[in-house]
Amino acid sequence: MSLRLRWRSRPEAAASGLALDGAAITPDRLGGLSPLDATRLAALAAAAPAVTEPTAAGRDVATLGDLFAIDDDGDPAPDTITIEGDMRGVARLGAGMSRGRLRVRGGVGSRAGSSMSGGRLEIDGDAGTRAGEGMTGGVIVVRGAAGAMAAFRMRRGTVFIGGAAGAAAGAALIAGTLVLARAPGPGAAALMRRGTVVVLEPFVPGATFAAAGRTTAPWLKPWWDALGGAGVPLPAGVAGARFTRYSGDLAEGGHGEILILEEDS
Amino acid sequence: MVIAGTLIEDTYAEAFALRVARLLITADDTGLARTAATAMTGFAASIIGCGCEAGIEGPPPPDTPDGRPGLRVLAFGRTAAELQDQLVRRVGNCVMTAATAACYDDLPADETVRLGSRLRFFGDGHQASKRVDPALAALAGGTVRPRRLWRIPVMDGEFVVDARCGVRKGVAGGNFLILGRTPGATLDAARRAVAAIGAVAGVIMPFPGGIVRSGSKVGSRYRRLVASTNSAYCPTLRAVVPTALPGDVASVLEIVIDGLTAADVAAAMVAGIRAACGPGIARIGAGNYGGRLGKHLFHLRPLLGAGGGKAAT
Repeated sequence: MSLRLRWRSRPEAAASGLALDGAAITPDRLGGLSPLDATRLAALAAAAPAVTEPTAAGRDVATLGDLFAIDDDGDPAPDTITIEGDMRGVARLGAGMSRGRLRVRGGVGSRAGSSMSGGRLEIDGDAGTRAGEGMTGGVIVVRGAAGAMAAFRMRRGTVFIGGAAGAAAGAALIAGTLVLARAPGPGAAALMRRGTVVVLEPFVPGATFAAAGRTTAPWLKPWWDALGGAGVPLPAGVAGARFTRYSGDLAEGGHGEILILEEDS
Repeated sequence: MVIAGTLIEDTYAEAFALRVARLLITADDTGLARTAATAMTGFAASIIGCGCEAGIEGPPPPDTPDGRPGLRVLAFGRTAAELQDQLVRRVGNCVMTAATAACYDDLPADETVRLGSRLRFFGDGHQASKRVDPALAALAGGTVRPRRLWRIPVMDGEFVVDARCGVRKGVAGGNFLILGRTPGATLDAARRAVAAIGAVAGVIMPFPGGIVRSGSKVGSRYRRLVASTNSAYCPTLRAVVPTALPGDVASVLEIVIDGLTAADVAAAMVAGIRAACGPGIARIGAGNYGGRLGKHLFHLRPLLGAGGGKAAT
């Protein structure tokens, strides 16, 4: 059974300017539940201390049913949750998830998928800042743009940003793979230690990255297959393409890499 | 039982359980992949003298992890530890050194041995690991499995190798003997058998060209030797030892088959025997040790009567 969560309009929440902590909304917590059970579930994770309550209920815990209309969307895949609505005011959606699939048909707030360790988070709209921060596994696909510091301190896993990535995308990357369809903003991959940042548009990295020639990367094929499987449009022939490689960040030992797709490849 | 004029002897092949790994070697073109695969499966005819038995599987894989042309290799060892030792040596010296080649595990298994996680030290600290995690693999679909790859910097770019490879119980020593009336007819029949078995997945023929001329028996008159020439099948000895050769047989060649499963070995034996039967071939026999040593017995007549597939174990 898979659940569909439709965001109820909460004007008082929007007026408060406070973000809702969405860390409780993960396949780990909702997987296998009926819509009725999910409705009764506390929307705010007890383990999330810095909860900012968006409703008129003050510090009372809201149920998921207060915030969403929940039904079964008929998708037989287990552990699949679809959220419909503008979730830009909701932080940490999918944070800490370890399995299943969470799909948001709209934009999300900051730190979506932070610390996630597995599963798939798909965001059809834009992501806020620090999407995938500190993640240790799984896949995040952002079809729209992403705010600053996407994949900040990511340790493992894969993040794809289809639109413009804000400043410092991939900053302090520890390892893992960040794929940027568009040339990123300033400070991209700054202070990365290891890992791979792939850029599919012409781009010149910062001064702490050193050009390391041209290369092919046939080992990336599973990543292209996965992004293709998620319906992401990729440049034709990307699997066999040539990349310009930069080593960096030299301030952190230079074990990381930025691979920039060559235009003529 | 007679097939195309060739008598199928009422006997059986005796095969053994060994540990098996299946690797997939890719390169920029099939020729380069074959060069690497041929090198790493060289000197791997017999477990007794070579440390492992290895060969190139006939049918190429439908898809490869990096999308480049590739070939499958099967390697058999006595234990997982011995197999790991052989794989590290062979992949390290024959695949890592081969231009453009990469080496992937191609056998999902609960038991694994180290491969790239040993070879990575060649990278002298510049090696990098990439993990295809379960979520990524599920999204990629097809043949992509979760894995950890090591990328080792080499002079033409990078050598990519799976950190670990799966190991299962395999079947080694499936065989049959081709008893021909002339050396030429026997060799032709052996070549037909090798070609037919080359179309069967999950098996290798570890001996040179898939053909064995020096079949062995257990023991020897010399104390230090555990095996010696199969004197009962040597045409030049027919006058001086108890012989297994009918009067019209001038030459014997053996086909040895190792496979992932008993069913794979049985399918290969059926394909090979059927291809070998014909004019000039008096009999098809098989090698065994009285049935006491091997775990798997392949009785020729039930096997061929059933049309193949089922192993009489």
